[in-house]
Amino acid sequence: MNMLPIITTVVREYADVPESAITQDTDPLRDLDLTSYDLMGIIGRLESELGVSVAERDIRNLVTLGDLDDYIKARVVRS
Amino acid sequence: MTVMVAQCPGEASGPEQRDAAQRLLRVGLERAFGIRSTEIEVERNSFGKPRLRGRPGVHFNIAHCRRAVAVMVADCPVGVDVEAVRRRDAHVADRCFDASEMVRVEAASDPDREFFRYWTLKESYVKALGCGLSYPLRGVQFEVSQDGEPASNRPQAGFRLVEDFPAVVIALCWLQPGGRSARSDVVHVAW
Repeated sequence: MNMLPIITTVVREYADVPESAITQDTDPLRDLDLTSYDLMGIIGRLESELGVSVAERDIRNLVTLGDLDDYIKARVVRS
Repeated sequence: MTVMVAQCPGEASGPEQRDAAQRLLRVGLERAFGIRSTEIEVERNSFGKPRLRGRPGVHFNIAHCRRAVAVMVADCPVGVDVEAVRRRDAHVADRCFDASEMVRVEAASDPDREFFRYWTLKESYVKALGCGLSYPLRGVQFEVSQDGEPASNRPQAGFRLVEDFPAVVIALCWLQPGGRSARSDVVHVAW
């Protein structure tokens, strides 16, 4: 299941950007001017909505929204 | 220790924030270590924390948001965070705050500002360590006194809150046991 539409919806609640500005390659800190606080909120919101858990040690590897999409997909399938 | 801070007159874009931060860094490095802008060569550690190439005794850290920019320059590892005060996020609280911290946040006269005091303190610590959000933030616990003095469960680190701008909270962290930061370390710079 493609999680990007859900991720996009959540990200747009933190960043005032059109849907077309968000792709798999988007780096939310660099491209959307979000802060690490925003990123933590986005991750927490996705955890809550999708019933997955994102480990702190893995956050450094989640650079783009595509990385986040892949990470969540793997855990949704597993659960 | 030198701390340069600047308040944006409006809301700065990402490039404007980064430009201002680089300018403050140049001023801070010259002021604290006599390093000229032509001598600045930045590299990053494996967690993305920037440092000066070939100058292991020089430490700095940068933070920016739409409302303000802050730069710390020191002879020990430092971390700084700046956030515009806005509505507190329950998801961030769930992930990163201890229950006792949330009790203090909710009991404060301005819970949103109190929330961002705790958040920026936590973030300043992991930035000083240089490991970013990979560090479990809930375990880094604070108690901020009524006069704004933070106490933490990290005895090897010092902390200070800078609240000179409306609707902005800045937190400073330095990893030097017994080290001190004075109010006079903070220098206001025009945007």
